Formats: sequence, structure tokens, C-alpha cells
Amino acid sequence: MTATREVPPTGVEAQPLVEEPAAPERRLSGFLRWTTSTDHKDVGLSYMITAFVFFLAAGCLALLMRAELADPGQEMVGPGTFNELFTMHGSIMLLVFLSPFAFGIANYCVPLMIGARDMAFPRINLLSYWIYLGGGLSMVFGFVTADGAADFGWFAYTPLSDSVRSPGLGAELWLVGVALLGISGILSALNIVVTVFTMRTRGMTMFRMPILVWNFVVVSVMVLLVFPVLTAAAAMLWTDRNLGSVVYDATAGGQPIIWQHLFWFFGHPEVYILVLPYFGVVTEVFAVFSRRPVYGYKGLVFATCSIGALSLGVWAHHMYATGAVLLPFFGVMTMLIAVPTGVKMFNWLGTMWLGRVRFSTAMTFAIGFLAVFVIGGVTGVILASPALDFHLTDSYFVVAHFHYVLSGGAVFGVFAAIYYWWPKWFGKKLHEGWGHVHFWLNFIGFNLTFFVQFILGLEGMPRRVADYTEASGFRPLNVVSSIGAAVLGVSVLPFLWNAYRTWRRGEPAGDDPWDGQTLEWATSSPPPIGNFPEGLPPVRSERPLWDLKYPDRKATTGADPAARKATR
Amino acid sequence: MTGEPHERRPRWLVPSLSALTAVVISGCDLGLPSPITREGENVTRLWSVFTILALAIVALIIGLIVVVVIRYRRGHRDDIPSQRQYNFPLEITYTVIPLVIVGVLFGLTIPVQENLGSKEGAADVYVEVVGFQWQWQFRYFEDESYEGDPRIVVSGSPEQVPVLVLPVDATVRFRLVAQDVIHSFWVPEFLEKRDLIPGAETDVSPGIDNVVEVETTETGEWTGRCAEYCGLQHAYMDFELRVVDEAEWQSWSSEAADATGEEGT
Amino acid sequence: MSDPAAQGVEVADRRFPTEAKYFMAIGVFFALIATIYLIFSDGEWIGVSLLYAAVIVALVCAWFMTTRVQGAQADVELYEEGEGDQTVYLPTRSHWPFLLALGTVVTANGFSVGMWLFVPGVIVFLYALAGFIREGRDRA
Ligand SMILES: [Cu+2]
Ligand SMILES: [Cu+2]
Repeated sequence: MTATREVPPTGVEAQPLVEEPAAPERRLSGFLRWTTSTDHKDVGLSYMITAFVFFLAAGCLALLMRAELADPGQEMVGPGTFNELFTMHGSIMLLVFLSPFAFGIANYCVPLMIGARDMAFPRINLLSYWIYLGGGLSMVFGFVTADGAADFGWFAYTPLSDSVRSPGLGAELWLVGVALLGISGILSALNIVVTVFTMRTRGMTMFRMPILVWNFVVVSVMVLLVFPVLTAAAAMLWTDRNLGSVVYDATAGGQPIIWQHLFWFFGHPEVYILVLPYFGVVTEVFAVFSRRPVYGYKGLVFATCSIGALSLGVWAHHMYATGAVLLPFFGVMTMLIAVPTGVKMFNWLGTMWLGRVRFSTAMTFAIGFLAVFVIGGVTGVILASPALDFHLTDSYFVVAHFHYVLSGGAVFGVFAAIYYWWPKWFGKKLHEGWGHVHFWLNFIGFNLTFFVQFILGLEGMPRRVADYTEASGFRPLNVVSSIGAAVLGVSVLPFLWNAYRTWRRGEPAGDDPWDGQTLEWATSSPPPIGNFPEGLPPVRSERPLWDLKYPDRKATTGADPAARKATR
Repeated sequence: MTGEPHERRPRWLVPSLSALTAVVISGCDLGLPSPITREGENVTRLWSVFTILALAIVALIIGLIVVVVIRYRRGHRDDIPSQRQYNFPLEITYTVIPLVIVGVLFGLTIPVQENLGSKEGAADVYVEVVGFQWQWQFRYFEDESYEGDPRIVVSGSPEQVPVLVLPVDATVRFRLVAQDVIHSFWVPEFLEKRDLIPGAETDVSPGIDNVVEVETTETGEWTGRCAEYCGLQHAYMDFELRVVDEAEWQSWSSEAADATGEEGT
Repeated sequence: MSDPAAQGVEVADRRFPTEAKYFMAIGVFFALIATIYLIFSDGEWIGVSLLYAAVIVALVCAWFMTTRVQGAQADVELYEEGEGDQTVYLPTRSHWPFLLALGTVVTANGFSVGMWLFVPGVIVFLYALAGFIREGRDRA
């Protein structure tokens, strides 16, 4: 293969083009494209669309649960089915929706943002997508087995998840699914790390990468450190169940608590694996729609890295109530995470401060993210205090807390990403009016559903209950919560309509509809195979496209003299 | 235009903060059930400090968002704003202040959690709490060894939840034992819970502290629940807590001891 | 932000590229945490071993980055000259990943469901693995 060297034309530095060995530039279509295209954009879209379908499915499970809980007594489903519902809701949302959706964004955007032609291992990329889909389906197929799906909760505490208490194929399939999703996640993470470390274009130093790319580096490294732990824990549970080992069996000299340590060593970082990509998404959105550089870029990178690092040292804050953990260590480590998280919030505010904030749907979702995430964050600090956690853990307070982080935080991030990059993915803009309808229904429904759950938890409603008594007094707030859930469910409809409508008769978006700053907006929408046929702008900062468009308005370290001149 | 990004506290923040401080001093529960144990009273106080700080932080951030939304909306000012990216003193400030807050909160937490965990001297009542799918059994012992036959055994039935009877103003020590899977012993008004972990009472799983102690302060009736998901009937694994005065305790315990003895023979 | 001073620093410090320093920092941080935890946790050996395992992983990555990635990324730091390795072979379509995933998924399910799924799964897996490797070897 010969790399042709070209003299960079003025203004735009052309990327040296590579002769593609007999590669068809023609895009495949339909089933063949889905199954055989290794183009990172196709794999990314497959990831996101599949994950979104799983999101809708898990959302339906949640609606069923909220319907059941609207009233004391068993109306729609018995406790057995209810237990399957919350187990699969949690498992799908966490393992089959949020992090694969993030991997989809990574697949699509990371190569574009660092000016690469594809991921480092395109075929491994496609492989990990199909293993992911297979793993997700394996898990869900539990519903059609004789005993139903797994019903031991998404953290599958031993001994409840052993072969005596949870016999049946559904539980086995859940384990198979977890193992496959683990493998898929490890392959994806490896691919992202190698891509970012070896495929960056000229001038794209680590400290010129967009924050989103940084966050994916941190997330991928975390995945590489903790997913193997989960896979190992699941494998041991599998041998306990099928081959008669007794790792977790207290009656035969094992220790159930081992599972909790292993699971949460994965499980806590997993929460950050889920949410950090969306931190990255909103960072990009804040900057673009405020026409500002990312405020305190280096501090933000450092904060992300600290969150990632600290999150591996806090796993046992999920286990305070076991009476088996070193409380001060985990208490202080957990509270410390609040510091970099706070730094991030102020950086986001600083990005918008003095800006020219434009309330596109993506920006609105990002601002909504910030508003609900701060609630998720401060309740996290409350839960970090062992003295308070003894009361709050395993109650609806925790349910509310992590939905503020994941359903408010991460899912708002998902929609911010969808509205922001849709024009790049499909070449057409989503309708802004319907987008705002979607946002407000989502925002109101979300807060209605989950805010009251804080109070329910304080009052003493345990999580994962299929029912409650009339005497408990939990009914009114549960009704509110269920109404909120209905609104939340309905909020997806304007989005689906919007997507359909845009597909049928959306306006062409052009290459750079939002006045973007990063490289993905420097190519056509959607980008062709190979991404940058026209070459790339020179990379001299973390905003190469901005620098190209506004050469005299580069980011400044001190006060910006140009701004002062302009306003006077 | 003021030029530089800086923190600006909304004007209403200071009065509302002082109002909230008044709430702490008066000892409001802010959503928590009012405690029925000595230990719980400390938790309530800690909770109000945490919650008020949390509310203040939420108010600050939401306030700043509101300012941004109103003041920096693009509207028709379609120009390019200040491109200033760094302000080190400000960045240091908003790193150090949270660090200090976290330090203070951690400092406040430590004594409360030590108090929750302390079990010194002899208690007045020893109860072994046994959890199994999906019921509770309360076994009253004479001393901490939990050896021999319990003096009183209280069991539930499918129709009737078990009743845990305790004297008021007494130190009660619970030893938590799980017979099958993990459960969690929670009376919301205790403001604490503790898991029942299989094997915790044996040498096989060292390092699991399965003993909790409370000092009751109030008479009345409350519902206790299993808080750790334990399978099919988890939602129905309730019990009743009845804290009674000294006289009632004496009569109940002798009656119950007799009943237990009869059953045993 | 063309900052020649910052540029100079990065160039001068090429012995340890940013990528390597990143993993070194992780390794050192976890070593610290793991040691604190070891001292205070009173023999909670699961966490201790997991944390030290993280240290090992991070340091191995740091070592690898120091010795290998440096070469691949030298050009990125010095954007004025060179253009990085662009001669990587990137296939645009292949049916082997799909088949390999199919084999993996069916085999994994076979572990729990039964031999009738396991055996065909292994066959598909091995066939696809061979195809996957040969494709890479032929074209790379
Ligand atoms: Cu956690
Ligand atoms: Cu339970």
C-alpha cells in the first residue's frame, strides 16, 4: 500500500489519502449492511438503534411495575412476575441499554472527533456489536422459558441467586447474557482505547481531544479494569450453580459476601461507566450552543480522571448495612467523588456563562441534565454517609437517587446526543418544536415519578417490593409516582413521531448545522466511508473547526480582549 | 457586561439559608420518621445538616442555571462572546470549597456512625432475630452467649405477622441470623437497618458484624420490614414492633416465657 | 491555541508519551489506595487483591505505551512534520464477525441450555474463527 503525500493547501491541511485496497465506496444497504459492514458509523448506528429498542422494552417493564404499584394489593401481576420485571428492567437498562448506547456514540463519534478513518479494529468492532446483541437477547429470552426470566434482582446477590433458590433456565440465561455482554464490553473498550491512542490525526495531542473523547478513554479504561471482575464473578456463580463448587455457599464453607465485593467492584464503577459518556455529550453540547470553549478544559479532564480513579475505591458503599465493611474508608472515598463532580458542574456553568445560549432541543436536554443531576449528586453525598445510609439504603430513597443519576442524568444525555448528532447521522435535522414537547413531557414526567420516591424511601418503603399495605400510608405518593411514569411513557411518543416525520420529510441539515467546533462537523452528513475525503482542518487546539471558521477568536487564558472590544 | 465569569449568589439565597439554619436548630425531621431510639436522634440531627446543605447546593446550581438561561440567552445577540477559557483562582476556589464541605460532612458523620456501632457493657434485653423466606422469628435470650434454649420465642404465621415486644428506656441488643438468603432488619423509626447474612454468626464468614444495639425511648407500635430483596414474598415480610412500659413488659415477658416453655415440652 | 511553550514541553518529554503517563498515574494512585486499604481493612482480602490487580493492569499498560505507542504517536505530537501511520488496513465489509459472534452466543447459551445447542455453536465458532483469522492474514 502506498501512502500518498500531499502538500497541504492553504487553510485546510489535507489528510494524506490512502489507497483503499479494492474497498467498495458504495454503501451496503439493509440486512447486509447491518450484518457485514465494518464501517464504524454503521456499527455505531447499529449499537444505538438496538440499544434504543431495548430501552423502550425496559421502559415498558417499568410502566407495568408502576401500574402495579399505583394501588395496594395485587392487580395486574403477582409478586413472581413483578420480581422478574424489576430484575430485567434493571439489567436491561444498565447493561443492554445505557452502556451499549454510549458505545454506539463512541463508535460513531470518536473516530470522527480525532480525525481517524475508522476504529482501530473494525472487524472486532462489528464482532462486539453482535455479541452484545446476542447477550442482550439471551437475557431477554428468559421471559419465554417455562419458569420465566431471572428474578433475583440485577445484582443477583448470593445465595438468592444459587441453584436452590433460583433454579430455572431464566437465571442461567441471565448469567450467559452477563458473560456475553461483559466480553462485548471489553472488546469495545479495548477498541476505543487503541483507536484513541494510535489513530489520532496530526496535531491532535491528548490535550486537544474533545472532552467526549477523553471521557470515553476514562470509561474504556474503567471497563477494562472492572468488567473482567464481573465476568469472573459470574463464571464462579455459574460453576456454583452447575458444577457444585461452593464459592458463595455459606452452608459449605463459602462466603456469600464475596459476591457482593466482586459485584460492586464492578457495579459502582459501572455507574460511572454509564454516566461519564453523557457527561462528555453535554460538555460538547454546552460549548457549541453557547459559542464558548469548554470552560476549564484541563480541569475538566482532570476531574473526569479523578472520578474514574476514585470510583474504583468506593465499591463497598453499597454494603454498609452488611456490617462487614470499613466504613470510614468507603465513606470518605465516596464523598470525595463529589469534589470532581462539583468541579464539572461549575465548569459547565462556566461554559455557558457569558455565552450566547441557544435553546435547541439538545441544549435543553443538556440543561435539564444539569438540573436533575445535581439532585442525584447531592443525594449521593447523603448516601455516602454510613450513618445516614443505614436508614436510606435498600429503600426507595436509593431508587430515587440512582434514577436521578441514570434516568435523569444519563437518559437526558442520551436524548441530548440524539438531537445533537442526528443531523450528522442521517443528514436531516429533527423537528425542534416536537423536540421541545418531548423534553418538557420527559422532564415533568421524570420529576413527578422520582421526586416523590425520595419521600417514600424516607418514610420506610423498601425497594423491590411488589406490593404495600393500605396501612403503610404509601399509597398517595405511589399514585403520584405512577402518574408521573405514565407521562414519562407518553413523552417517548413525540420523539418517535419526530423521528418518523424527519425520516419522511426532514429538512437537509448540511455539514455543520449547529456552528460546531469539533472535527465531526468538518465532513459531510453523513460522512462517507473513510470520513474525511476533503481533508481535515489543521488541529491547533481542541476546537479545530472553530479555529478554521473564526481564526481571530481563539480561546484565551485570561480576559478576552476581542469580546470587550465587541461589546463596547 | 462584567467581563469575567464569576460566581454570583442569587440575592434570595442568604435569607433562605438562615431560615433553614433555624430549622436545624429546632430539630426538624425534614421527611425522616421521628426516631424512637437514642441512636436515631443523632441520625436525625446529622440528616438535617446534610439535607440543608444539599438543598443549598441544589438551590445554588439551579439558581445559576436560571441566571444563565435569562441573562445569556442568545436572542438576537448573534455575535461571538468572550472566549476566555481559564480562570485559575476561580477554578481553585470551586475545587477547594467542595473539598472543605466534604471534610466537614465526613467529620460530622464519624461520631454518629461510631455511636450507631457502639455496643458497650451489658444490655437489658437480648434478642436473636432470625430471618428466613419469608418470616421472622424473635428469640429472647438471657445473655450475650445466645446459648441454650431461648427464654421466649415469638413466631409469625401466614395470617399474623410476628410481634417484637420491647421495653421502653432499655438497651436492646439484636443478633441477626439468616437461615437461607440475605434479609435486612429494618424498623424505619430506628433510622438504621442491618443485613442478616447467612454464615455471619459462624467462624466461616469472619468480619461480619451482625449485632446492633438500640436504646428505646418511646412506647408505641410500628411496622418493621425486610429491606433486602429475598425472593418471591419479600414484599410481605413484615413484622410488628411494640415498645411497652415496664409493667406491661413484665407481664408480657412472663406470659410469653410460659407459652414458650409449654411449646417446648 | 498555538502555544509553542506547551508544544516544546510535550516534545521534550517524549520518552513517556501522555498515554503512558496516564496509566502510570492510575497505577500509582491505585497502589496508594490499595495500600491504605490493606492497612486499615483488617484482612478484607477480596478488595485488596482486586485493587492490586488494577495496579498491575495499569502498570503493564503504562509499560506498553512507553515502549510501543510512542512510535505510533510520535507524529501526532509534532504536527509540523510527518503524518502518522495511515497505511492501516481497514476492511469495510466482512461477514466473519457476524458468524463469529453467532458461534460465541450459541456456544455460551449451549453451556446452559444443552448439548444440542452447544455442539453446533462450537462448530460455527471454530469455522468463523478460522475464517476471521484467514481474512485478516490474507489482507493485512
Ligand atoms: Cu456506588
Ligand atoms: Cu426481604
